Amino acid sequence: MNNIRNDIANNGAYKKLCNGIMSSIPSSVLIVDEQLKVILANRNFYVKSKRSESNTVGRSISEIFPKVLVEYTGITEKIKNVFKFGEPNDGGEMEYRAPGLPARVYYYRLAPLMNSLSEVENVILLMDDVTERKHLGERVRRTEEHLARVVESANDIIISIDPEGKIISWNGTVERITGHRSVDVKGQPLLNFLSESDSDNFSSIIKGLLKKKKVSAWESSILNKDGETVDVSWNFSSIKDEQGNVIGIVIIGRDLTERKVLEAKLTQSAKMASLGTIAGGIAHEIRNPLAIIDSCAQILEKQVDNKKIRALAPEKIRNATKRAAEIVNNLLKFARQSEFTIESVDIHQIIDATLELMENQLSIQHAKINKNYDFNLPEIYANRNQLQQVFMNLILNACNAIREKGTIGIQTYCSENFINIVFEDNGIGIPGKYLSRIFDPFFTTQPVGRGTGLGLSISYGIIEQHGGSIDVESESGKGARFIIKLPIRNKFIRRENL
Amino acid sequence: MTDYKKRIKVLAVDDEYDLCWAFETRFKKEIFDIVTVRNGEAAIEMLKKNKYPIIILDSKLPGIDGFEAAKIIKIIDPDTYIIIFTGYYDREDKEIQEGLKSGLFYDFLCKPFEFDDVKRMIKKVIKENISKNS
Repeated sequence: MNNIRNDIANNGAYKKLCNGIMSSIPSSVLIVDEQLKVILANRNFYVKSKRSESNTVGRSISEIFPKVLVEYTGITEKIKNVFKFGEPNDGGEMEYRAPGLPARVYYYRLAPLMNSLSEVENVILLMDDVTERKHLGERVRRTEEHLARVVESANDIIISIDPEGKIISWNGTVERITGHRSVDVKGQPLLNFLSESDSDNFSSIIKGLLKKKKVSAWESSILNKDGETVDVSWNFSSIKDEQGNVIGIVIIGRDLTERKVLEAKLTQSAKMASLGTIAGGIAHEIRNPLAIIDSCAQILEKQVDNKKIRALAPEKIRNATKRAAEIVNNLLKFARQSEFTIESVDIHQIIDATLELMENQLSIQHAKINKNYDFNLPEIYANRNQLQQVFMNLILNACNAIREKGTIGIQTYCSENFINIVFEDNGIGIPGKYLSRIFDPFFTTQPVGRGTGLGLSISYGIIEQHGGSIDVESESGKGARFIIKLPIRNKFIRRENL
Repeated sequence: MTDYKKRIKVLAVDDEYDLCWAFETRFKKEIFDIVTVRNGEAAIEMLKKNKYPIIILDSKLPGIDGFEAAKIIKIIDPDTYIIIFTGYYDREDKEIQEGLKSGLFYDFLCKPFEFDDVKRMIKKVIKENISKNS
């Protein structure tokens, strides 16, 4: 029965070898007999458990391990089963605390020890100390969980894609904005969720990133479940492996909806402010035709039999009415909070409508308008209302710069892929120290109550939105020159043609 | 004795052709003669040749504006009565109030207007001031 023990006892050399093996095994080892009594333990066990051979060998398992441990692991039952079926048992985790030492976590296994008749003679209990591994695993798990929470709870869109542009993950914010669940989009090309017009741009950004190029931020949009676009500002960065190969791309996006709403509000307030400035002029513009209409009516009342008057007065009334209506139309067109509608526009027509609206303002300031139009200028896709706002700002500024009498030159011409619109005045000019600041929001040299300081910054934003640029050249006392460049083929064209 | 037979000349200055036409048409058969010009420079030229005791003067004119023209007119003929005629200002506006107080303007006429009011203003000037003096 106790063959092993007898062998060990009887054969000195064999015993030595066995002891050597047992001692060098990094696991704690216990060998138990059918009565669940320990017949052998290795050195590792004694060290870890702070026990000695005398209070271990010959003792039952339930004496060696705390009662709680025996109960929750069911270890005695498991040992009995190994004896019964001769099958090893993968055991599990146990937490064991030796007296005076911190608790340690072990992974234990049970294996049968057979005799030559293939009968289970003993069961070996192997205990591996997994405390460190477990703590490490726990830390990794916590870190992963923390990172996942950071990504999940970010207010920004966070998407990761593989080098083929297929979605690996997207966070809760994208789910909220698009209505598509992360699990549903996994493995789909991200392009499916972008506007068709953005696909070329997006593809070239991804290509650039894979070639390890730096990519700047990009404003476009993402499609929601209903196929509507949500404006987003994107930022890209690549994920690299240890060899530096790009294995994925992280895309962080910010929902621009709120910003767009604020921008629109700001633009509208600036528009209203410039309207305030020209309101008096507009009143005069309307009162003049009203005066004509009223006078003609009064004359008709008195001299209705006069043939000449009967022929002339109605015509004058109608002309004056048309004039007044045109002014009101212009005014409304300008004041209305416009949807961002893009259409093919004739720049000259917009400038002329603006001048018409400002006619009185110009005459108050004794500003002479000098137009120099290039009539070969092509039409471009743009927002009429916004461009009018820009032109009005520039003309108003020019008016203010002209203190006594002056000229405002308006020139248009084509250059390569751009149309150029130049507003030039011979007013007081802009001192050099202000030149770098004039496009800053709220920068104004006007006294409080006159000028919001928003006109030029909003104009700048509008022109930029059209893919163009606005520059200024000026010297104190020598007038100012604003040059607007608008691309003939801009981003709006593609959107329209799709 | 020849003075009272002479008809009073009223000069209306406005850059709107149709308003000038209306003044001339409406006031054809009045006790005063109406003459119209379209800008301040022309008004000043007329004043150098003739006496216009009453001038209806638009505040916004191409070239020199109404306010400037009014000052020059007062220098040429301080006895001229100027009715400032405007669609841009209201009577309460500082520019108008100052002009009325300083005597630069005799009265204020806002566009659109009643010809009867204009007639009343002119007659008042004639009755209270010009007739007494002549």
